[in-house]
Amino acid sequence: MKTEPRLLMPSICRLSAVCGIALYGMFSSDVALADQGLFDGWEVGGYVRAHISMNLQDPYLSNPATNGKPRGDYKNDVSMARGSARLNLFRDFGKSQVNLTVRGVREYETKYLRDLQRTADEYAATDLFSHRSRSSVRLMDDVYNELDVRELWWQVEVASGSTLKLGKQQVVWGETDFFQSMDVIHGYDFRWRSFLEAENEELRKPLWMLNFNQRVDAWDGSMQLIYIPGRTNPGYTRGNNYDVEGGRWANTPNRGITFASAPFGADVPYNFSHPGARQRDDSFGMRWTATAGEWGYSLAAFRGPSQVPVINPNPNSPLGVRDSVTGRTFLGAWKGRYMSDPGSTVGELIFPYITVFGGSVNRYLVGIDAVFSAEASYIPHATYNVGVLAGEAGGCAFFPGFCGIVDRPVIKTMVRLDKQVDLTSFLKTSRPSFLSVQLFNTTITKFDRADEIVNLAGFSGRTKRNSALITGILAMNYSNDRINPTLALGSDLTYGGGFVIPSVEFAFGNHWRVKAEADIFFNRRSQNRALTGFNDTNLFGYFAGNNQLAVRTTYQF
Amino acid sequence: MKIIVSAVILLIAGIAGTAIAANLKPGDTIQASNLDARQTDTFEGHKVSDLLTDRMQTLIRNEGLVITLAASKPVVLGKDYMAATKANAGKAKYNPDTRLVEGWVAGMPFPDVTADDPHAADKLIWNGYYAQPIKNIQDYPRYAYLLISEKSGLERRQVWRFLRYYMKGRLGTDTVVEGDGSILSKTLMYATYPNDIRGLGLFVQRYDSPKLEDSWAYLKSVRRTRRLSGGTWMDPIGGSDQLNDDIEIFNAHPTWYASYRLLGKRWILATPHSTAVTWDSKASGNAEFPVVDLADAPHWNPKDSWEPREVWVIEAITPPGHPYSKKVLYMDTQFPRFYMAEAYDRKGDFWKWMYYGLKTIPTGDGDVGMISATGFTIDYQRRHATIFILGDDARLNTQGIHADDVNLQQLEKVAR
Repeated sequence: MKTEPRLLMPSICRLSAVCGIALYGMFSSDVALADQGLFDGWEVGGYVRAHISMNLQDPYLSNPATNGKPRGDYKNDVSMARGSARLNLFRDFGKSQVNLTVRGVREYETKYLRDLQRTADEYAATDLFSHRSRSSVRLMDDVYNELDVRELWWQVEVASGSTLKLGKQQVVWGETDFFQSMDVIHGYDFRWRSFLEAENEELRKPLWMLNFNQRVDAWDGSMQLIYIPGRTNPGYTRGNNYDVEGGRWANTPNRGITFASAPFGADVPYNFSHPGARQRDDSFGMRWTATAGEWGYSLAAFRGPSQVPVINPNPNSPLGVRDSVTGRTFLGAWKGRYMSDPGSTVGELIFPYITVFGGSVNRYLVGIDAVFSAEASYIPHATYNVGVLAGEAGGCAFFPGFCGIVDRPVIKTMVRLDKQVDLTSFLKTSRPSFLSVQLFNTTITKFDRADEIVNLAGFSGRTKRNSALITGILAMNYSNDRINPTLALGSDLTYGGGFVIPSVEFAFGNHWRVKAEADIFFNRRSQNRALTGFNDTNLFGYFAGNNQLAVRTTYQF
Repeated sequence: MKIIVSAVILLIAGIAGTAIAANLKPGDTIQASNLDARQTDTFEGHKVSDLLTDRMQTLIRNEGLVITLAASKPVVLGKDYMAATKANAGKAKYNPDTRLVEGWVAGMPFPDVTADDPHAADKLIWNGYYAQPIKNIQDYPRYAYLLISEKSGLERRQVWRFLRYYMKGRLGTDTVVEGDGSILSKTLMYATYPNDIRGLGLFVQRYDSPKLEDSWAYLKSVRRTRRLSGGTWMDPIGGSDQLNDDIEIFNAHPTWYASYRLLGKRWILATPHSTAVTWDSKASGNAEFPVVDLADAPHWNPKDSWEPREVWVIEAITPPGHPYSKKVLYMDTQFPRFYMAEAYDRKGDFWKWMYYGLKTIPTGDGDVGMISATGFTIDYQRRHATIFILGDDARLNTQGIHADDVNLQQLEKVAR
């Protein structure tokens, strides 16, 4: 496994091409620039920000030297000390607009992070097939620190109602918060901060693309066409990044375990070249959005890599494979192809290309003074790992989910109500508060329990035909919005567990913003030890031990 | 002898009385230090005490409001506006059963309201709703909200861009109605400052019916458009002191309020010709917004020129659930625009004072229209204020803007 570069600066060629096109567009625009130079008229904004978070629990970190016993007590340790800066430059030339957003991040390596890296190195050194002495991933350089052109686009009105937006950008579809149903174009990086980020533009992985929008005024709508060239967007910019590097947001009990440099040589690297998951292939999408009477609606289709990776098992794994004692047969490599080194890996992480069809609706309901939203997506061939048992219990391979990959039709639905609730008398808020409740459901339509579909490879949590999560947000405001508490709640109605996130943001003048939050997780079951004792652990079990207190201080300009 | 003494005393008293009741000149000020002395003074034939509402007297006496007098000038209204009002006079009818207006085309639906009309107040409110003396497009490249506290002065500011397109009652064009006639106006606005709201966009569709507005927000931080509740018309705008229906004093469909009552007609000091510099971009600190007395506590008083204007005084009774119990509105008798208002809480206590400085500007098609150069909403209970400041690049009837440039599809495009 080669280490993926964390420096996401586009190549000189890519950057030059877009800059050239943008400059050509600017100067060929019909807007006279005679009275304004190239350097005049830019809107400049951005921030300098510090994040700091502290463990409120003792997160489990295994010790390779003691056969996986906890390495230490990390309760109250600083888990993140992160400084970041973002600069936005925007200019409107009339018929065209140009935007550049750059973000730089540096983290301080806390003692906790040092121990995570040390553990990853020690586990990597247990490799049975080589003499490596450390993990292939340096958490600080490869996961946390970055310098990134977040956006660089040129938008031009090519004809009346026709807009072309070219360059690195972010495009979001659908309605749902927290979850991804029609929000399928981009992946998210959940490694430095897991999924509960309200301002999710900071986690989204922007892509170079061509984004064309045609207004259709007669039907009160617009058609959007998306083309994402695979060759322009490296594989590591696609799909979600879950923390498989063993960092602070690695699923319990995998902190300190790098999948690509796993214990005993059970390596699971990324593979972006699998024929069914070749990230150099192009992606396409189209969406129609419109209003019809009281309703707003959208219809969309997208072809591209799935956001959630699956593990393609090595049929010639040096640690061995077999049929599970449950009767679950080993399926072999997906589509008969395994492309990583068969002699030193047990599987490879791939992002299969999928097609997603979906739509959304919204409308204001006068009777209950609330906004109703719904979203549904259909994936004819969603991919899942199968095999509930781990090797120690007679499963196909060392880890659960390594019996192979199946694809099944899946429907994801979401319904949500947003309502302004007047708590001014009850909680003395300065204005009505925003309440949002949503229910998210996933259904595997051709479901057979005997398939032994798992929710996540590496865990024995068996997927059910239907699963649902419910979330709620209550956002309050005090003192002319200078003090803004929010309470976010969520519960996994199928597999148990949930979260509670109380937070408060203070606004000081035009420039300073301070946000403090506690992230509290609950679970029905979690896995206590690394590499053994695989049990029915599901989503919120992955967050066991991750309760944290986080403070974000921002100076914006 | 006694008679002569009495005559001399009366003469002296008369002279003294004449000296006290002076004729004030443009540029003279009325402030706490001279308020009592100037009660009987006159300005352009009006006694000062008659030109000041009770609330203005209190604000001058206790809250540092200083009024600088200016010679009154006729307000010039747009040619197309006046022509439409004249051409369509008599077509609009007020239906007391539905509280709606039938037959309005363009211009003022009720140009000749009289005080003895039992529905005078409703008709005046409808005049304001249908026929502001502007043209068809309000195009404001930038306006600011200043958030001010008595203790610390200017706390924060927000900068927005605003574009409103009127679909009905269009002036100076044969196409008086665009679309199917159901929509009165469409508005697009988005924030450009500070950074945490930069890119936040709003699209609002107002109907020519009691139906609540449809609105959507584009949230840049999540890159997504979200439908908003139509029931927020009586809620505060963000963290401001202004309710949605406080925009330009009165910003609600007339039927959403419970009732209206005409309290009378009188003269007040108002600002139909704002002369203050609202926003000096080259200055910094308190000098950036010369129209506001930011330097002196309570930091929210306007500094503009005031002239005598005749106004209608209308009491607007709010519906249940509204934060106010009532608003008292002051509307010019020549055109349906409000200069100031007083808002009262549910207990009937005075809560907020609103004041707008108006100004007439040339439109993009060679006519004239009226804008709000500034708008003050001051919360005297919480001791906090929100002040609207319009940039000097505001335009009306900008050429080249079409209805399709102001719609939901544009929301994501225009937001940063």
